Amino acid sequence: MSLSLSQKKGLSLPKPRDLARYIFSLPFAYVGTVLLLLFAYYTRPALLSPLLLLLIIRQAAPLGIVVLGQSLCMRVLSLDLSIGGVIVAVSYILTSGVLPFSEPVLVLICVGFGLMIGSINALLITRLRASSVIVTLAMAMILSGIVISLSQYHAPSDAPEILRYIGQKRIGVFPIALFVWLAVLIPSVIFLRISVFGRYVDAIGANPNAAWTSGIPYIWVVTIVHIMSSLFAVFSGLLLVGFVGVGSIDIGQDLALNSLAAVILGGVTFGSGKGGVIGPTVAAFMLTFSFNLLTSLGLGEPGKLMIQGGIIAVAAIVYATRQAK
Amino acid sequence: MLVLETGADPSMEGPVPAVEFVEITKRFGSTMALDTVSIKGWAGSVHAITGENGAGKSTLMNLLAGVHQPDAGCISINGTPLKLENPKAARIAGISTIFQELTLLPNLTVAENMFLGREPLKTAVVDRVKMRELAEEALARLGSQISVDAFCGDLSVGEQQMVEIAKGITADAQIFILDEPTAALNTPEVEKLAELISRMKSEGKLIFYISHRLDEIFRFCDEVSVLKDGKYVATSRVSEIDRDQLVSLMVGRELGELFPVRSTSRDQAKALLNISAIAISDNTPEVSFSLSRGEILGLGGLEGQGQRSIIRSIAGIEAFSKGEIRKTSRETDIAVPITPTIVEVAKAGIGFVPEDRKTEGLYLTLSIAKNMALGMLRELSVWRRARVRSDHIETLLHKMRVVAASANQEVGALSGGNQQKIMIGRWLASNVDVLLIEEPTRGVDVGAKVEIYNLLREFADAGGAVLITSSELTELLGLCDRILVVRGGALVAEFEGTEATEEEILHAALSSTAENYNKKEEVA
Repeated sequence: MSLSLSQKKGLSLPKPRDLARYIFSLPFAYVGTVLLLLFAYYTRPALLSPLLLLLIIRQAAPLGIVVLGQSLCMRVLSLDLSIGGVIVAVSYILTSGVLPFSEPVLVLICVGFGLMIGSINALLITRLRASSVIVTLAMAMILSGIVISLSQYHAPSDAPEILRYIGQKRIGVFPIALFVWLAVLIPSVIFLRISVFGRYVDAIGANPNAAWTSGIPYIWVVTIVHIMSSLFAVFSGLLLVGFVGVGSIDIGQDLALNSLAAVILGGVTFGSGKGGVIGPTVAAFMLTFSFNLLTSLGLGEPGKLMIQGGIIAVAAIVYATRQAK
Repeated sequence: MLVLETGADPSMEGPVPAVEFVEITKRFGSTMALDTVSIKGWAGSVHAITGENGAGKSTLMNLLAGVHQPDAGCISINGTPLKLENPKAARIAGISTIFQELTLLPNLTVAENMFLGREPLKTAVVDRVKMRELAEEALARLGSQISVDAFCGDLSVGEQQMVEIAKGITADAQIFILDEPTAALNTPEVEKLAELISRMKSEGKLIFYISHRLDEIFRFCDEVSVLKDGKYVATSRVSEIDRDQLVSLMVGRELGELFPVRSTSRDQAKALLNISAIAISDNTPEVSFSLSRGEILGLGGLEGQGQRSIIRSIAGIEAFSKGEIRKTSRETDIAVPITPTIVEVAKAGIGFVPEDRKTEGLYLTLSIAKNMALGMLRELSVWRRARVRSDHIETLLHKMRVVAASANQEVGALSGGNQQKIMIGRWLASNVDVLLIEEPTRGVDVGAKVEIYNLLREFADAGGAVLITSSELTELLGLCDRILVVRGGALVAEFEGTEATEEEILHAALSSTAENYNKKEEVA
């Protein structure tokens, strides 16, 4: 039996089974967030006060921003583990006092630095066909190593004034960090929805070989993705340095792994070309919320480690089964 | 064990064939791979199984090797019907297969490979001394000098083949299947193989020799059976048949109503694409030809003769070391050289449709509409807005008669024919004027074939040009305006589509005496 397109068009009513399948197909972060909020409602209702929630959102902003880049990387079947290294370097550039420039110039240097790291990552991955895991992990280690060795001579000092302002102040009840997050998030969503670039990201994620043989500028797209990811890491680093107020050599160290976890919870899967920006964003909030919940339950650091480990194990399994197909 | 003198007479009463296929039928999905095929093979003879690509030769041998099981009919070994449920059962029944892709483990020695999984034991330990002795003995019987301690990864393909055959001998196999054994051999290695085959024959083995190379069939074999489209055509003694008769047995088919009418608008004077003297490496022949507006040009020949490299070089997927490709620009009507990278080739208005839809062609998890829309973005920079005209896509889907629930359906759920249409349709939507298509109708049913042929002809009539590779002679003859035959990486013959016959093309593809077409041109 065959129906042509025009005959069948517009005749699809959702069935209950399809609805169940739809809910099941939603990113885990949506269901997870609802469950967590319910759990908090019964055990630690204080966490749900608007003020605390806004604080948690502010805390989630740096993760939320790097997640945008990580999710892009994963959608083109790559990964970015250099995030932590970039953030440490950003912290050093801003707070070491070695560079005798004004604050805006330092911020611009950070942006340029992000461009450079993203380009190097992309170059090694696309031209030398090196594994993205190895390349970006090595990059993170090298950057951290350089910063640690340099820090022996210059103890970090205070963060620039503007950044502390952005990181710590509010407009009304809303922390400025939330607006920064939205200012990065909303253009990203729109850009990915309507641009040729967004279509190409989908295509490469769905079938990189087909993208290659049909003349999609594969290398260019992957390069842009890695540059964007490093730039998002720089923005996230600016926010973090502002929060903390002083430079540090272990700032943002768990952001790479947490972003990986958030992207997976947010429904981005390797090799399917599926996954949006909103899912990982919700997941960034969910993870941050769960860490706070664990802390309030007296399980802070150990619980955090277990959650991170569990999510990454699941991610590895998902990755392996997809590869096996 | 019944051992006959070389070449038993099939009509002789009494003796039992070593292998008898009785009315074998095998389907893969909707494809009838073998249709009630009956063939007898006699001990002490070399029996060629031949036919065009897709005739069912390999399927038949896979049944004998226990890789697949027949849907109907049975296989008798020495008169006893046997069920060969898996390759191990076939091995126990005395059947040894030397596949096209050799299956030796490169990091084990010759002796270890030969006894893999059935090592001689001394109590619970592998008896290495005995294993080496047995391996040496088997190789010696074949007149081979290969060391049993050499690693198989270090051997040439010919030597590996020798080891595979020796492996069969140590397993006391009586029936050998050689699947296109000369495909990867050089001339001295072929001589060695010839010697080996005659030795095996004199030991009373039955050898099934799968090949479509006429030279080898006439040189090595006693009997030949021809398959066509899964059906048994004929069996003959090689001494009682000549080349032309064999070729017409392999070919003989009416072209029917499959193909659209060729257009008369082909403008041969005006090359849309000009390929001049490209060569993959310094050791491969140079290839030159041009493709005119309104033309469908076919690259034919036996499988693996370099058609794929030629079309992929033009597409920018495989690099070539010298030569140049020029394309006449649609706007300026001037021929400009093209940078041979896939991105630049696509930008120049050349679309490439790979043979393997699933791994290289389509985005199976994306919808039909998204797959098609990607074609429309070809000329846009990545920063631009993706303007997709969905009405255009709908029209195109309708025109291509794509059968689908909606344009939002995942491409992976479509049938082969519809997937093929989407792959071609993506380029139609992208407004290219040259299409490079590998095997345009592989794994596609007849109805969809006709529709695809019509699409391509329409594309050409509208001022485009199409280059296809095809292993189906009927397709080349029915669809193409011109046919170039590729052999050993070189163009060896050119035919007008209206004048060529299957026999001529096969002869050009097989014959070792065919002149190099490009060289011939230079002289002229």
